[in-house]
Amino acid sequence: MAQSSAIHVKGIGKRFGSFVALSQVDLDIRAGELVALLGPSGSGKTTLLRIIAGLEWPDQGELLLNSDNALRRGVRERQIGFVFQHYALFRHMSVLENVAFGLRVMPRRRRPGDAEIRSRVQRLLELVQIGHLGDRYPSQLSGGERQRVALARALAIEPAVLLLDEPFGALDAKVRKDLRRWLRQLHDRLCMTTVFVTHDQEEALELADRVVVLGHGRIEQVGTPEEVYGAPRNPFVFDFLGQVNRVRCQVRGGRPLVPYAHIEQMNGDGAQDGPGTLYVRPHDVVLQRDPAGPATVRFVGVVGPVVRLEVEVIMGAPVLEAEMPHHVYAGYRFTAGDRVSVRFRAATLFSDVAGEQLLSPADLSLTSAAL
Amino acid sequence: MATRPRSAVDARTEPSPVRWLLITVALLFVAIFIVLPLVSVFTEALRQGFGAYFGALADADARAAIGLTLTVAAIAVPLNLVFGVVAAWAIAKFDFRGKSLLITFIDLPFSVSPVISGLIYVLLFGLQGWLGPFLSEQGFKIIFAVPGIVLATIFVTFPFVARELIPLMQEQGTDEEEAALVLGASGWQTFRRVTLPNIRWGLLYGVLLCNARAMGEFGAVSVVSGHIRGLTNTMPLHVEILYNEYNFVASFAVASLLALLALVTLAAKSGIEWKIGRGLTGRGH
Amino acid sequence: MSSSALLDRPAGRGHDQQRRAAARVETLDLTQASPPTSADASPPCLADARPKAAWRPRSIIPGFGLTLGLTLAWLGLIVMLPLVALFARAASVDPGRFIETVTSERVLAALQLSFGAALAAALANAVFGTLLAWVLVRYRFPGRRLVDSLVDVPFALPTAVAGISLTALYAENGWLGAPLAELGIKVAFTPLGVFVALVFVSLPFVVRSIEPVLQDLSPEIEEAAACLGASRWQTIWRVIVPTLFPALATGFALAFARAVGEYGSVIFIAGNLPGISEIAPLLIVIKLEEYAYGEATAVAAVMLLLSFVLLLAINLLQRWSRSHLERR
Repeated sequence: MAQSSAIHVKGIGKRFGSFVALSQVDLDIRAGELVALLGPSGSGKTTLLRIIAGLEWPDQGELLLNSDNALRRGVRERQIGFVFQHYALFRHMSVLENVAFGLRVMPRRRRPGDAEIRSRVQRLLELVQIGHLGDRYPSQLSGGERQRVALARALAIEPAVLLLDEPFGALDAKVRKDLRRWLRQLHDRLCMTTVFVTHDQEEALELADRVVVLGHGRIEQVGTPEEVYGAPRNPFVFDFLGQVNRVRCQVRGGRPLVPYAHIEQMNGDGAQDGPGTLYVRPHDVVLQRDPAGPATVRFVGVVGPVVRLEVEVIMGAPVLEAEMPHHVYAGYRFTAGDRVSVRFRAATLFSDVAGEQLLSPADLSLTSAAL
Repeated sequence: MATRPRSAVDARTEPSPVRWLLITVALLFVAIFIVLPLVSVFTEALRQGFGAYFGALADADARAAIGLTLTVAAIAVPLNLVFGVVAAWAIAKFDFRGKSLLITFIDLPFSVSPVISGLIYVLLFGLQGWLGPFLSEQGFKIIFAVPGIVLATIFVTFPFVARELIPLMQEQGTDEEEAALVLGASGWQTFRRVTLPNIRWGLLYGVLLCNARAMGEFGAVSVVSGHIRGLTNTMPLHVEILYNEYNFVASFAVASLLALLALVTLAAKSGIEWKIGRGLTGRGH
Repeated sequence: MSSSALLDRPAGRGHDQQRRAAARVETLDLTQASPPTSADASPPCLADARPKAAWRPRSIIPGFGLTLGLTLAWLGLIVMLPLVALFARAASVDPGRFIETVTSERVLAALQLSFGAALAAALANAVFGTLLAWVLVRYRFPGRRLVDSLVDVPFALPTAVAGISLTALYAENGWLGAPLAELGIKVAFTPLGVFVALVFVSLPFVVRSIEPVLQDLSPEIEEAAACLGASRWQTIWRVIVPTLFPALATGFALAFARAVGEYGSVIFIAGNLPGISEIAPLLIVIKLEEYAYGEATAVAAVMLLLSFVLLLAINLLQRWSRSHLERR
């Protein structure tokens, strides 16, 4: 297996003092794949990327790049294209010189001639659509342009692998979206193995072939965007990807005791009896007008692509969030105070394992904001 | 236009009489303590006209002193330049235990009296010192000779370049260096093509200040020099000798050269500050 | 001499890095510090190949061993070794003679003058330096940039030049000495002359320490104070001055340290009367010229210790005020 993958990570661990940044990380990335490392801050995603690049050294573990033991090679010899979070453009060099740098510092026998460097740089600048900016200096560029320069500079050395650290982190929302689409197209054209780090789930889900969800220095789940969003493997991934209702409940015979709601489809493999948590996406919460229903509508928000409702269950359960398309809402016209019945179209049950790490409320609000 | 109530003056400034009073006091202070001494150097030097002035500078001993001062600076400044860059690289680009202690030690020469700076070399290399007798047997003479002057000068100018570069390089971080390394540059290529261009103005700044101090140092050099005319007399020492011989015009003539050096240094310093723009380095000046 | 070069950098990134580094770097070992670029035939498992990985600095930037080694060597040779020689020499002086030397009337008078005049000069500069910094940062007037540059003159002007020039100014027939003499004030060749010379050499420190802090002071703070009903004077006294205090203490300490050891600018104007206007550094020179190395070393050691204690006290005060400020 390992021989066929472009990046093979096995048992990688890294600590900074007493802080465990990564522990026992295994990961295989196929040639030509576009992979996102997704996780909250402190999850170890950037550390993993920097270890792959050779900017950081693991305490233990194995790293193969195209079947070659990369830990024997320093950062210079790995031929990695790395786009830094804040681009790290050389501020005293023009755009041309920035992009040419990797070629100019090659050993003399491998270094292309001046004319060759010039034409290659120009081609790269055309590729990233800033051919007209060659003589500018980094301080004269916009954020999006700097990003493109950083990308061109990384591509100039014809890297085996392209790594990007929070590539869109420093850009504003509009530019971010455009660049994201453009990067996807560029990847499809170059077919280069690409790994990028992000804390923005939308970015990861939209852009990547596969998403690696990291938390607390461990890989929580690896899969296509559909897999990680549709079938999160554990509460961490559920909490981190998309908004979710968490319903505390008791588990008896593998079923949750939730008296106020009917559950149509139960996911999750065999929760043990005892305390558990039921995870329900807001769009899986179905409401029906019912004067004898167990819940009351508290809030209706009609602005935005979907209608958002908050429902309070009378028997002391938490407030549930529900979402429905406008055309469905049009059939009901709920208002605050309406009594309703509740149905969960799909729900996933996990046992509460002692000591299990859940996201803190602060992290949750962050993920909601990102959606 | 509505009239503003008295209390509506800008919350961040004082009434104009107070302002002008403060400005006047500050300017008087600068005039008395800085401008007048500076002006008096040149008027005293030219008291007997340009003929006497240039005559004093053409004197053989004066020329020897100028030559020695230039020689000493030409040795001490490059050495401290290299040291400063090397120390700043180690301190700014890496984390290690004991870093702040190291910075404190590098700063030590700033807080040691120049006289004591000279004394420590006398104690080490003088005839009554630790190494003096041994070196003297080998035919080396350090104290009351040029090597002692060079050593004392290196000591007093030790921190200048490093102190200028450390905050600058710390602020610039290691991103650009990492980028260069990822792109395949060697350590030396990274330093020469990425780091050096980024610190060149700070480096020049440090060298200027280092040079001004190296050429103007008096106390430390005075202790180790032995004041041998034509041999171990630097310009500042020559100023003292002439002054003590009541040869005021000659003394001030040599002094005026040093004052000119100071003014040129300050002008260049202002030029650099203008070039890099105040605050680019994140510091006040 | 550049003042900013001397200032404490504010606690921040550097400190954090140091703290993290302290946690990470177990021992300083130069031989282990070279970056792992060599293609040595290490087995795939790093845990075996690099058992000392925790020692090396986190950075992949090369040259740590080389640069730190050179730094320590040069520092050791030029600074530490001679300073150790001084204290070793002082320790080898017979204790009885050491005490006799440093408690002799002439030495005590010289120390008193050096430290007293240096404190007075640093205090004067604390007041006028703060005023000057305020005027330079806050007000716009013609020639402001020139005045700002002139503040650095004492850094750049060789002390001997300053010494003879101040003497010429304050001598009884000088530009300032003559009018002062008519008022019955004698400056040159008296302790007052020492004070004047020390004010000159230590003038830039307070100004240069305070200027950046004053520049960075957020306007909102003062506007907030004004909104809350504070008068201008209350705003300055209760909001601005406490903020400036750590920088002021730094500037004061630097000015004092410079003044206490000053030699070149003082010896010309002081007159050097033993017991009256003779400063401690001059006394060291005199003892050296008499080949009384032991006595010279004793005076030097006492000077170094006294200024060390004083600077430590100022440093503690500054640290206290800074933490006090940050907690609020």
